[in-house]
Amino acid sequence: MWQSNFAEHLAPSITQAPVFVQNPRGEVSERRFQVYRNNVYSSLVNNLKDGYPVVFKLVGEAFFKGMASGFAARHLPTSPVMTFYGEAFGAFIDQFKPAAGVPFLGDVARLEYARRIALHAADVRPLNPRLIHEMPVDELLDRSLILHPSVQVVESPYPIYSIWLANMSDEPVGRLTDCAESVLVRRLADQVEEVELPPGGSHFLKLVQLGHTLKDASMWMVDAGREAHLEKIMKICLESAGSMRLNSSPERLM
Amino acid sequence: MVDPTQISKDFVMPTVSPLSRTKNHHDYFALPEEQVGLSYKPDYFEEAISTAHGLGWFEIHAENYMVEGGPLRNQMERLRQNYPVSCHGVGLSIGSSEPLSHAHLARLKKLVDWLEPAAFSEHLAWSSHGGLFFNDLLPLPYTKDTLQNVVNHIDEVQQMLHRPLLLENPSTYVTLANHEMSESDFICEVVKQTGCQLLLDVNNLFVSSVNQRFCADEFLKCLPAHAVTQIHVAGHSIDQDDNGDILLIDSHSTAVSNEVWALYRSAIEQFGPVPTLLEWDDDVPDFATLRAEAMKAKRFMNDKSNREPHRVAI
Repeated sequence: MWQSNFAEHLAPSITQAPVFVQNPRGEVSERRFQVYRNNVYSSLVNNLKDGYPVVFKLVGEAFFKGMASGFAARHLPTSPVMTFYGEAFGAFIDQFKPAAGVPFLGDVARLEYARRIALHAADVRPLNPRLIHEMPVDELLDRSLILHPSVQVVESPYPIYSIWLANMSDEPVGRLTDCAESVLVRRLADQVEEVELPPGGSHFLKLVQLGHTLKDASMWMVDAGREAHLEKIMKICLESAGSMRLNSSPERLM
Repeated sequence: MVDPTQISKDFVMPTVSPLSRTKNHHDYFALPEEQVGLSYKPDYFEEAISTAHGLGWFEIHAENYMVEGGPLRNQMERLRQNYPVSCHGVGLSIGSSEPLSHAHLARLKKLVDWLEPAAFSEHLAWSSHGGLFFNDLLPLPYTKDTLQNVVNHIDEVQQMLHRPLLLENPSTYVTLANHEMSESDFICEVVKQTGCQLLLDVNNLFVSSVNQRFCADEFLKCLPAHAVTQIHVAGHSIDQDDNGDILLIDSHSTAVSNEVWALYRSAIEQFGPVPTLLEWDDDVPDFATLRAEAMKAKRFMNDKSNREPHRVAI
């Protein structure tokens, strides 16, 4: 009873303290209770600020605080593992009307969250490049791959990789091209890396993740008119593999 | 032509083995006596892993390491080779009237099995309710009902982890009208019923004693000396409540105040040279400053004048 009462009064829209929360004079103390409310919401906003540095840089402190406070008020954490708090921030930004003038902001947030996931993913040795190199091509194409557990793909109709990259340094931002960019994020050793995917690349990786052989995924690239980018995505895919399966189809994997 | 069986053998996912014990491995369930430690920050990993700074141990927040892998955990594996690590939980919500989260307990068990910390501590507070996590240490009334809950929760954690839990006294900003007993009586009863140990946070004690107007010295005298196995010191900031009365905030953003050091000296006079940790989590200065601040505790431990009774003015 006391606990739900206390918890309900922590909501940022409430400005009163529960009646049993008092100062040493025995009076209800809103100011004292406010310390707890402030701790809850300022810690969440600070967590988002640390987790989304490029979103913060793009919109500035005041705007970010307003947006993050709105998110925190609707999305309290459901787990004490705060490392992964804010997964839905990108989706929240997509719907956040004051940010409508920055349509790529949600995608940039998703890219930043993907980097966080990759950073803390399991440590798995990537596929040995020597073995790939020594394997006959036909045999390689008959294989399906299990991508490294750190691999995340973020697709966007906006040049989010260029925007993200430009905002990671203090160098002046050059003119950005107005084209869609999809990014693969991975951490094969200690450092998180971002790799811009060629056209069709994200779908190629989806097919691989579903368990299709490299041959099937390659045939899709050809059929989709993306043959020119096949070599590049194959290289990215093989570098990003955690292990290899014998010839399998999605049905057999299930 | 490559033999497929050979490939599959080569690409077995490496299993993460528990941290190997080193030759200077400390007592499994105890931090080193008379040693001071720091709340660890990855920013000063290179300085921390050195063996020349004179600090004896480090503390990590359990929840920050509940991840599958990555550089954070790799650094911790290396730091753990050189120093005992204390694992400090902030998310169990021991003071809650709801059952503990079994998912979180399982995460904690996995972490403790991996880290083999020299101590595991948690707070006399709650942070989760109704499926939500509030990311703060919230106060509970000290009643017969909450005592039973806290005792049950600590029993559950100790059985799960096969080790004693160190319970930390909270910093509080309010007085709850539904208290049935004092905080010190509550804590003594918890120790009696669970056999848990105490992490005495003297900054929390000072903050609470000023905010709730009770005598910190009396509080210390009530504690069972055998149970106090770790001490925390930290800085606080000064604010005011609606009446203009002083309201201390447990901010961990400054050096330790003189009043808290005085209370610390009283504590080690009573409890002996208990392993002591400096917490500084906001506006964190460089490692040299942190180290110098932490080493003050060591000087107080070594100070012969501590053998004389020391009174603290609050």
